[in-house]
Amino acid sequence: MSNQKPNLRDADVDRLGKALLTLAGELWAVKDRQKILEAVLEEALKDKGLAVAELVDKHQPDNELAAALANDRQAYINSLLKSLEGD
Amino acid sequence: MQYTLHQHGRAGIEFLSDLRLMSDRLEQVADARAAQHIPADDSLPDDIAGLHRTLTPLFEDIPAFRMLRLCRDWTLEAHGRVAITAFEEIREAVSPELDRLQTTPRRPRYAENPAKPDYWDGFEFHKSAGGWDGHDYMGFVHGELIHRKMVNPNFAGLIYATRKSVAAAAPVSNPARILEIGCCSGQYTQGVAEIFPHAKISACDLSARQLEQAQRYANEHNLDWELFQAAGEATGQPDDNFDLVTSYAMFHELPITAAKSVLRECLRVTRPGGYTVIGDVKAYHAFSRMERWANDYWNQEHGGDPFWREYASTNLAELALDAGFAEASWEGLGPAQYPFVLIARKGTTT
Repeated sequence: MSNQKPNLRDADVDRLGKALLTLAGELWAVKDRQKILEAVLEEALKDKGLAVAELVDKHQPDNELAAALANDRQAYINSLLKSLEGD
Repeated sequence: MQYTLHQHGRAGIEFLSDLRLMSDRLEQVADARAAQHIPADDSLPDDIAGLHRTLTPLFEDIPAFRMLRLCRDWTLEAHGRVAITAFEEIREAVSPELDRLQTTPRRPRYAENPAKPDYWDGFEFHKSAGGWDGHDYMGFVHGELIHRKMVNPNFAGLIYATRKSVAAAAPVSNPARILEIGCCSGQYTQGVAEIFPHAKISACDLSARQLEQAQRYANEHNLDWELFQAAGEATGQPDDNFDLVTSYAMFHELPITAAKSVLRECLRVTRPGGYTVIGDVKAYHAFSRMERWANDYWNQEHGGDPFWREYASTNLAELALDAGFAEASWEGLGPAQYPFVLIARKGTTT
């Protein structure tokens, strides 16, 4: 809605900025690791000619991996909310 | 239908769904901070405008509350885009089967020139990107990716059981013919079919894309539903034709003028002695004043539901009696009084 009051006030912006930087740092670490992982796998599997990025796209986590991902995702969101919550 | 999301789409949906659910803790923080400043419930104003004057500034002054609103605004505004992005990653793999299921063996009956009322046409209810017809596979995007994968986890996995409970509340046994108005992607239709497996079910909606998703479910499960595109105000069905006319979660998306028209249409097509049963969200009078404010704040003011307040403040039983039903009650189901259900009986002589 164009006439909606802004969500944030001046006092919120610092906390939001810090949360965004935390998020950006975490995201970059993941992007970096993903590239490294794909490169390592391509190298290790080069004799088999496997397209690692495509395999990752289509891979379905089994129950154990899905539970581990849910655990990590929720811890990640928790840390994000902690930054947003403030004092 | 079996399908597999790609890693990026799956992770995006799971992140949004978890963020929506987990950010509720900010509400608890805000409620705890506000508690010492909130008067006893019966000292709060009884009207919505007064509740907003008293409580909105108090809550919006609490940082955790403002962050909660940021999280909820973002999840509402992003959920349609995230779901569409996830779909586009698998479009090539799933579209042949989606196309087959929406046409084989049955297909929905499309209206040539469907009358699309202003309150509906192009409006993004719940801030879903593009509205009900906003994508060529919006039925799958809404019914499957948004409702099953994002919304259902936020209602403890109970949205399908809640829908079914409304059909179970209908005071009819072995109805031969049932009409559902506003069937969307067919989720309540599934509940109606489970409760009344021997009934002939007809169902209409204005959205062609949502009807297609309902048709996919019916074709996949060998259900002989008659699905057709029509507004609830003018279904085109014969007079006195159905033992049960029903609807779920549509009335809060209608202005009251349209709700009155739909009830008149329900009366017309219900057989004498038959029932119209309408399930929807909880009426405001069943909430404490504080809860009523919160419900209004998050749905009417910030939830992309422009008619929520009109619906929740109106006595649906009175509207049904005004429309000409012989008897009508409007009450919440179970201890939580959710959902609210109108049960209206058509007289045997009209």
